[in-house]
Amino acid sequence: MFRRRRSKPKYAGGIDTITPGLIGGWVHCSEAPLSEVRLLVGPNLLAQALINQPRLDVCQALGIQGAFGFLLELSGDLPAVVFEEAPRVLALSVDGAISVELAYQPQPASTVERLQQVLAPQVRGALGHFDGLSPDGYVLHGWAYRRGQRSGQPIEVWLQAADQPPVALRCDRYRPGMAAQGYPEQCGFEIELQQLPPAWAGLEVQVFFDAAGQSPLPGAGAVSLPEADLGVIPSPAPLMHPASGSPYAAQVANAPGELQQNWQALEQFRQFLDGMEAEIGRAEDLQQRRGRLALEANRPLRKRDRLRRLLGVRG
Amino acid sequence: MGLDLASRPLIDLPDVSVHVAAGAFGPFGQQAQQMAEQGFCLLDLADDSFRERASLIRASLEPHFDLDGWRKGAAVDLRLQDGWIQCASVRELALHTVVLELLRLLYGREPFCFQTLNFPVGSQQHFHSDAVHFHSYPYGFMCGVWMALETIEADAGPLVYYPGSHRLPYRSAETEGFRPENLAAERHPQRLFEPIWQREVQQYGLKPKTYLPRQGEVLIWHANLLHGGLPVKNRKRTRWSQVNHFFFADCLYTTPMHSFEFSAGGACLRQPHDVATGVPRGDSVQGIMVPH
Repeated sequence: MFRRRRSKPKYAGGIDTITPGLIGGWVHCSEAPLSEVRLLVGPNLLAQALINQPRLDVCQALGIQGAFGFLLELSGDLPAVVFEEAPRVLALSVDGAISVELAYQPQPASTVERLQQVLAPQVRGALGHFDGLSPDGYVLHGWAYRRGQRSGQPIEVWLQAADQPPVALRCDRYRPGMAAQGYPEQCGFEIELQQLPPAWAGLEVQVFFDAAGQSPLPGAGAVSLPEADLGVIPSPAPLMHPASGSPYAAQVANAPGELQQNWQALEQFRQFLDGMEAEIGRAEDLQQRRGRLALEANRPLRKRDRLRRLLGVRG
Repeated sequence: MGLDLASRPLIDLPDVSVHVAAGAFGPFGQQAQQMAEQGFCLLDLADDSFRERASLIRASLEPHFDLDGWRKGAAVDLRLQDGWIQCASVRELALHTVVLELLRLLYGREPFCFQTLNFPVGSQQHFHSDAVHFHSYPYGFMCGVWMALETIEADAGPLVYYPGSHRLPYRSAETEGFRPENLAAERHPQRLFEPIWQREVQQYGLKPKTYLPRQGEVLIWHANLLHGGLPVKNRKRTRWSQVNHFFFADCLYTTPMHSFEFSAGGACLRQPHDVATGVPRGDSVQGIMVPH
């Protein structure tokens, strides 16, 4: 008797996100519906998820309908052990008859290595986002935490630049809006550029979950620091408050609460505009220095002053 | 055979009531609901067979304990760990078929008893969570089964427990930031955790309940339920009892009290003995490395 050898099932898709907290992607098999993905290390099941996430981009590209995306959540609760065998992400049909091993689509050959990196006990289960530079251009910021993290035990992420020792950033800053998404609110991180060593000026920096620089936080990616001396970059201006001694502090302090709130909102907007201006200036400065783009010699006046007049904001 | 590190005990699922209503727990729906909501459940195993085994256990183990010394106030340790090795009746109660069936249904995995403890008198142990001494990954696949080998009186130092405390966070040396040297310096490392539990009981207003069972009654506690022994007020009283500790199949088994962050040594894995077979369930650590 000869057993008929089963041909490899035809499928499309793979993994497109690998982070210490989440592995995401999509998969579609024309032979049979695939229902589930599993993360295995050797014979051990570490995580599983249904293939049920909507991926409009996939449907449009393939001309099919359905929900072919998946999100595998990695737990932060796993004990501090190392799984020695190679990790794999498998997609399976309902009856288990069809099983395909998924690869990291941008670089299939790096799949195992990338999975091993995010399964390292030091980073496993961590989620985060690197926002890049703040609008005023003075602060690098973002957020990160680890699933199962206890309050008062924030994680650290690592700011890295080529040939420089990494800088640890403690993720314990208040970050509004995180609780609404089920995250801890004290999970923000930030560092003022002036706190960085002078040698970092002009370098590209990125934030990683690990000190070895293997697992980057999703988000802004690599950010170029200004080439100016980082030590002379001013600290971000503190938010003005009626009691802070501004010329109209007394008026504002005596105003009804609603007016005070409006003033505060305008003040925040003014700072936002200042930040935008600083960011534009910084970007232009970088472009000039790199000689990529010849800027106009006489730039037209910005509309900012007109906007300020409209809003009744001085300063 | 691989480990399943992705699923949770059925009684820890957020929609456990739906499963109860659907009859997923067979005759043990009430126990499943109670376990999920309060962290413990009750069984009554009193029958002639139980009573006979209880008598045999007392007769077999009593000579090993210095009860006279205890009554005179001596500081003697009156507990026998793993009496199942020497006493067949201990083993038989540890493998009681009703208990095994209940645990199988409540947790959704195959249970196995890995340790027995026999006490002739009240343990007087500070309230604690077993999940600091032994736990599993995935979390929650561990429980204790406390059997009354005689009817327990209020002055005998009965079992005390805190309903609802099973929902407190799981603790370990890693979560509390303890280092190996902290543990090494403490003869009874559980003491390092006791202030944490005391604080939580106060913070969440958890109220203790005293368990005064008749012979043959059984209390099953969730891995994280706080429980202990009240002070013995009358040293003439005995409190014959047996505790059976269970794990479930296809997990990683750990000692959280000695599990540190990776840089300090990592997890302390266990290779628990299976009381039914007498051999360790050691296959679970193949291909898994700890930095100890």
